[in-house]
Amino acid sequence: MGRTVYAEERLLNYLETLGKPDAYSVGLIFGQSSDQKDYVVHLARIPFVPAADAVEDSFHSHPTNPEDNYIKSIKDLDVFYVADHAKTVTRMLPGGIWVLGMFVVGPEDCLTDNSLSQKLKSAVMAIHKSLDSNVHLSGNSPHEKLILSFNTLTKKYISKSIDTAADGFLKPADWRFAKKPTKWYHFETIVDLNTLCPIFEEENLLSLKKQLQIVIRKYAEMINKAVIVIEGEAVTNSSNPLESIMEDDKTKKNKQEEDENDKLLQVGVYIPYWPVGKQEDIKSTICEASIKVMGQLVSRVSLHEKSTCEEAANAVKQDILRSIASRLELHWDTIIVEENGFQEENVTLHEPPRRIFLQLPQNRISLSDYLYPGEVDESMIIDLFKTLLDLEISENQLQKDLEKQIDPTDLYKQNKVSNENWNAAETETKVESDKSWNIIIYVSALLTVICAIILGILLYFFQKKN
Amino acid sequence: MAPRLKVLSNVIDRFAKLNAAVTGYLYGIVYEETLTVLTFSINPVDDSDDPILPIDLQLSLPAEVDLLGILYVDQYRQDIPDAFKEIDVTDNPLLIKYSLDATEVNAFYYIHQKLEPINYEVIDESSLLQNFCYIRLQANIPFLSEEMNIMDSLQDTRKYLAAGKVGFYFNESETYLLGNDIKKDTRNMTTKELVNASKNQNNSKNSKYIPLCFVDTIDAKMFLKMSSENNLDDEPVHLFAPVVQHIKKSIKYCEMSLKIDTLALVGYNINMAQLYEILVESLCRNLRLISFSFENQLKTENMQLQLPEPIHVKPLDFGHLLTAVYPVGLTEAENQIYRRNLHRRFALDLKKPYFKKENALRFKNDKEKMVQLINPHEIITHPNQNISIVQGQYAYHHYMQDGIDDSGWGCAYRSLQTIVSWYRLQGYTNKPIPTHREIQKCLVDIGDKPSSFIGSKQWIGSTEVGYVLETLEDIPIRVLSASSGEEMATLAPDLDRHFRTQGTPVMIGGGVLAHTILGVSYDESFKNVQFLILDPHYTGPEQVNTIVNKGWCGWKKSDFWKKDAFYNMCLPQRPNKF
Repeated sequence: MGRTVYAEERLLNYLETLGKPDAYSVGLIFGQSSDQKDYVVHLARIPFVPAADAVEDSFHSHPTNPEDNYIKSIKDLDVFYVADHAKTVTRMLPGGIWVLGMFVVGPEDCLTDNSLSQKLKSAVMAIHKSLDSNVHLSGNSPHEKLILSFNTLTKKYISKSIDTAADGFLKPADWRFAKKPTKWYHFETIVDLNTLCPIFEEENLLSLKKQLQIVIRKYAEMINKAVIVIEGEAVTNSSNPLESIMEDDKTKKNKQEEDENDKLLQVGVYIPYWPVGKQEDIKSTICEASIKVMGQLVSRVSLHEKSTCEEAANAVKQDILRSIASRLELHWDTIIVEENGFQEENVTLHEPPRRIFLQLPQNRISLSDYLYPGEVDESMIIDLFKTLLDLEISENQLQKDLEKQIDPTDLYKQNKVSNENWNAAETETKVESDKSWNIIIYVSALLTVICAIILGILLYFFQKKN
Repeated sequence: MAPRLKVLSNVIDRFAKLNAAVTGYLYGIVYEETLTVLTFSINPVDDSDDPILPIDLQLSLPAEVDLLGILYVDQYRQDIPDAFKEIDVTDNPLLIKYSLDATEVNAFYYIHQKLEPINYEVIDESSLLQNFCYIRLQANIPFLSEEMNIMDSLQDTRKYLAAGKVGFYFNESETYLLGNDIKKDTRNMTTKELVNASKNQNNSKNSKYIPLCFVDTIDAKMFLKMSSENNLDDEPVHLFAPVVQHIKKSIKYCEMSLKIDTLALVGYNINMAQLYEILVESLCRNLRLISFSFENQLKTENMQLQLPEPIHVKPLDFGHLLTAVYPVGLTEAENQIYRRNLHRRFALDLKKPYFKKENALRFKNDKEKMVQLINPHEIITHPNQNISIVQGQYAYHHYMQDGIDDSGWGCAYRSLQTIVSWYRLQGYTNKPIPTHREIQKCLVDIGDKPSSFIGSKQWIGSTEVGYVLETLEDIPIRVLSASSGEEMATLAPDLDRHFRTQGTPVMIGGGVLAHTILGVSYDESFKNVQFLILDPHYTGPEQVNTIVNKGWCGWKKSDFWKKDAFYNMCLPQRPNKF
């Protein structure tokens, strides 16, 4: 039996709006997948900006031009561009929501034509490969990917699923559109990221990027063995349906079920400190550099009502890691001055972009974007959601203050009091603090300049085109 | 109304061993309107080399056992003791006056700034454990600190965890105890229900022999809580999106995995929310002991820091467990000062080891692989008359163990090994059990045997056993002889005194056979003498039921001894050391 795909009705209308008699629109399918079923929560066409500008900095810089959204022929499809775009937008998805595949809207049935379907297949394969290249994003769902072809002329659609991890055969998939195909459970957790990571000798010549990758790996190790607690129930490798632990609340508050739906359920993240069999000695190391992470990450995930507890736990873990990795990647991509330039001892405070949320109005699934310190212009964010996810949003839909921007005096206070950190070696910053604030100012000033330059270039480019 | 007062019988027994006027502190549990005094410490007359404060001594006690009051032994001061100020677990601090001459215990509560006499009930340990159980928390906490700031970092870690950043898990009952994230039906559970759930699990899968002397605990594990509550009423002070500090500076770090092994003595009616707090306290006590250990190490010049490791002990007269923390790899000479302080504080003489690493208790739940059975005699029904038997623990060494086929010649070697195991398990020595070859080599080295003896299958007798104990283990011995099997019964009073004062297993050789005597029993007129025998000739597997049912370990009448044989006994003595 092939896969059954449940999608919201509005998405079918969306496909119709993309139709043009002489051009093709290609987009990505977003949703959650489980064993035999997929729940599609969103579809968004891919903007095809001229290839040269697109790849590197697609995240914060695309203006929209309706013409960019179409290609003349599927044969022209740049599969690498599609794959890269999938990776970019995956950063905006909560854990447990994936790029499930791609759709194409055009004046023919693309999946019945062998050469066209081969092309689409190769695009989906490229998406898989691209997402696989960044393990911390958990960009690939553990199930098959989808291709949906919508014929503008006949208003009919055909869909196939494809096992991108294995043979790559196309199998029929059955799409069912409904007003509200599933109920969603929404979860939130605030994760304390306080950790200290010494950079060992063999690693200290590495770039900051490489050092931050070490930090991400450390988190991955920790998060992957965490026990996730939902509604007081520790979720341990359990294939129980998620509903079974939610029932308690439902029966009690049946009347307020609507309210109940609005509530974000709290999730606990617990790291086992189990006793170990063989005790190791104290290891003493001199490190030339260390990385200390402080602060709290906000994680939100949504699970369809038939999910298992295990799927829910994995979604939480994936979200935390996806968000840690995304913000650090975005951060090191914007650092231009390589740290190795400084020879003397110093402490630099880096502020990776912080996470902001946007709830999809139809299913209240939270998408995210990352906001650099000092970045206040909402219109850019609104543009971004339009460009990358084809979402028309207004300012007040954005939740920008769940993660708060650091007030450096807070940190200074914390360093003095130093009571909020586990296994933290705090005092080094006391001495250095004056110097480090200078550097903070320096780094943020630099970032502002970079942003301004990019904006300038884009505006110039944009105007020229028009 | 003033709470009821109970005193553990062990406390009274220990009072009786005091011999000088002294002041001290009382420790116990406040539970269900009752104070139960479990132990006491004394203040040394000379304070110079004794840095342990009474409140710190509390850290060595299981969580829930707190400072309750003070002890006056032959002190008749009438002033209102300042020490009561330190007591915060009860509104009615306790004063116990003990008179050495009259061996009289008088208790008073300090109520409305006056001392009110109070009656007390004496209970024994087993009735205590009908209302309380030990919960043992074990964990390994990853710990990274700048080497210079290790003390501060430890304190930070402790405070961080104590602020609710932990969760607990009970393996046997698969119960999670997670602070604010606690499940609704777990919240209403009592400790009794937790214990029952654990026991049910255990009974169903565990039929293996576990000696009674192994401590029964409910085991808990620990989580670090990485998440915070989104609680608007109570917003954390430093809430900000993650930032990264890149510290480019040469720093010496030390990285380790802190070993937590801590106890709490918990009343059965304690609910899960209270238990959570108790376990946090238990964790903090352990972390503070670990901090003290580091502090002591840092005081020593040029010392390579060693990981502190907690052990649990139970001195012979005590009705409760104690925890001590020693750096791994520290020799007994190096931790002697610390041990001496503990002995003195708990009014223990310096004649027996109680706090050595070798004294560490064994726990029922530890899946420790022991080749030999410990104390197989524990499941035997004893004769209904006076008995005196071996004190403490020994391991049953017998034929065919350790892959050595010594059937027909190794019985005395095995009896000797059983004796050495007793000295090991009681903390007198940490040398491994000598092998047959090592025993033979020792006898050659002292000139008792020719060098061809090494590797041979010649048997040895009680004289040789004595030589080896004296030479290899520095254990003094006494010798006792019987010219015939019939005469053995007349030695019952000697053996009785041996088991009461020394308590070590006795090796007996007669004819070509060697046995181990573990106890003696007799009626009022020293008739009907019986001997508790452990037979080293057993060749079967380590199955306690077979061993006991087939009489490899059991009570034997006097006719067990051959009429025509001459018997020599080697009575190992306790060295006077601690």
